[in-house]
Amino acid sequence: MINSDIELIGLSKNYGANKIVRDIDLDIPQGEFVSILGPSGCGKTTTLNMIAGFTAPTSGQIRVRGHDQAGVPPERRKIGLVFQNYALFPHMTVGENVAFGLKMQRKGRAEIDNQVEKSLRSVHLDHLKDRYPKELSGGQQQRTALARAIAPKPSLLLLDEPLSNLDLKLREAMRIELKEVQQELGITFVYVTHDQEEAMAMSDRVVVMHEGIIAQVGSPRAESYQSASYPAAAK
Amino acid sequence: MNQVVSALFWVSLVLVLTFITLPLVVVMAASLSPTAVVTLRPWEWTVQWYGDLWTARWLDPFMLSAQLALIVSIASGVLGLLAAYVVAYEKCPGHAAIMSFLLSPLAVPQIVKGVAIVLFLSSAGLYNWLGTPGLIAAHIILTLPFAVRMIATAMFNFDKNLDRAGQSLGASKMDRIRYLLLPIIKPGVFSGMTFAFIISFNNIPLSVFLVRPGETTLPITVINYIEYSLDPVLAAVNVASLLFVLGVIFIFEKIGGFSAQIHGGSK
Repeated sequence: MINSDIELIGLSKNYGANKIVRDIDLDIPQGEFVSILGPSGCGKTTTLNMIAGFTAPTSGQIRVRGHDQAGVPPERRKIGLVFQNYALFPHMTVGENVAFGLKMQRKGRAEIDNQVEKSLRSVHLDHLKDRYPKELSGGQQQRTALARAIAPKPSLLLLDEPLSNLDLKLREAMRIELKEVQQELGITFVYVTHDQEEAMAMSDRVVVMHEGIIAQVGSPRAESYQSASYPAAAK
Repeated sequence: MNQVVSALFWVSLVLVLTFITLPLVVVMAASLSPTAVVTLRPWEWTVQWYGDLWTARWLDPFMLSAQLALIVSIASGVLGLLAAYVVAYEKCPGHAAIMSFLLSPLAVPQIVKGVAIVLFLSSAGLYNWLGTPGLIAAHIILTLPFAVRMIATAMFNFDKNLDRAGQSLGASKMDRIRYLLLPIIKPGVFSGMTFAFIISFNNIPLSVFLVRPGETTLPITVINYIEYSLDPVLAAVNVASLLFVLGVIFIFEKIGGFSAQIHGGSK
């Protein structure tokens, strides 16, 4: 039996008559790296926001480790989040940014320091602990955001186009790093992107969304993707 | 060609700066004038007029003005913060209309406001509000729009993604206000409070209706003094208040760090 981390059951979101997400079902087992791939406007970010708790579904259910999340506010979902624009706290150092989640859990000083150290080491930033975000390069900011999200040890991490503001070379290096962090920690990753190559390079499974429905699900090594049988995936 | 433009630039820059600073220079020179009549003889000077400032005649109004300005700036800061929070952060229903309403006192001339406040106090029978309580209330009414404006701008510029990031890290609403919103908008709050302080400290048009004997602000004392004599003491008062206000701006800036905001940096 597979130990499910997230289950989406008949999930839909409408804004007025506009159906953004239409009745999708998805089961993500513990420790899997899943990419949700699709063009902008396909409903992938809305789906992510519903899992995170920022957007309430119109109908359907989201279960995290078997528990229905309806009415649970984002701050109590224990889901890590990495943003496209990083959203680092500008008035805090790298170390303080990473410590924030642990501080909110009212952890002890020693435990916080220890965990911050560990998280920064896993993204190779331990030497920049006392810098402010604006003193960092784009790639370093992205790694800080990743360290901040993993420090409170969430079992699930949502990543919203985290690499799209980086240049190509850095993006390719970060792919490898992300994958390593995911394997090292054994966290479930849900990775939203419009970049097919990126999704292929990292994921255990790729979910292609198009106009609010799941058009295709499969392993990146499956034949169908290479032949690009689905038009959205070919883009 | 380029040199001509560059020369023109420097000449106009010097002219503008001279235009701005000349009155200050004249006042400073006048405050050192050796005779009771204000004269400009830079080779003869005295600091005796500054000595005259250490008398109840000037110290009492100064203390009242300084206390008034401090109370007003704190009250405007707190009220402005609360108003800006609801309007600019929570974006309550009708927030645009509420914002316009909060800024509307700016459109009423100060003299009109002064008359209105005095008429209100006397028709409501609140005669003992004349003096300090009335001054505090009137100055808060005057400075609140400035404080709200500055603080609301800082709140509008607050990146909501930071809030979401905080939320995903388990921060409750109170935590997010305390650790994210307030520290980030702090420069805006302190610049609003600085404006309130300066406006209150220098105010004449409102104060003139509300002061009473023994409870007179510094600018009103200066105005009254001018009616009878024009001597270097006034220049000394001016220079002393200028230094005091500069000192206050410096302290507020040290606490609030708003020059970083003005020059476009964070932290």
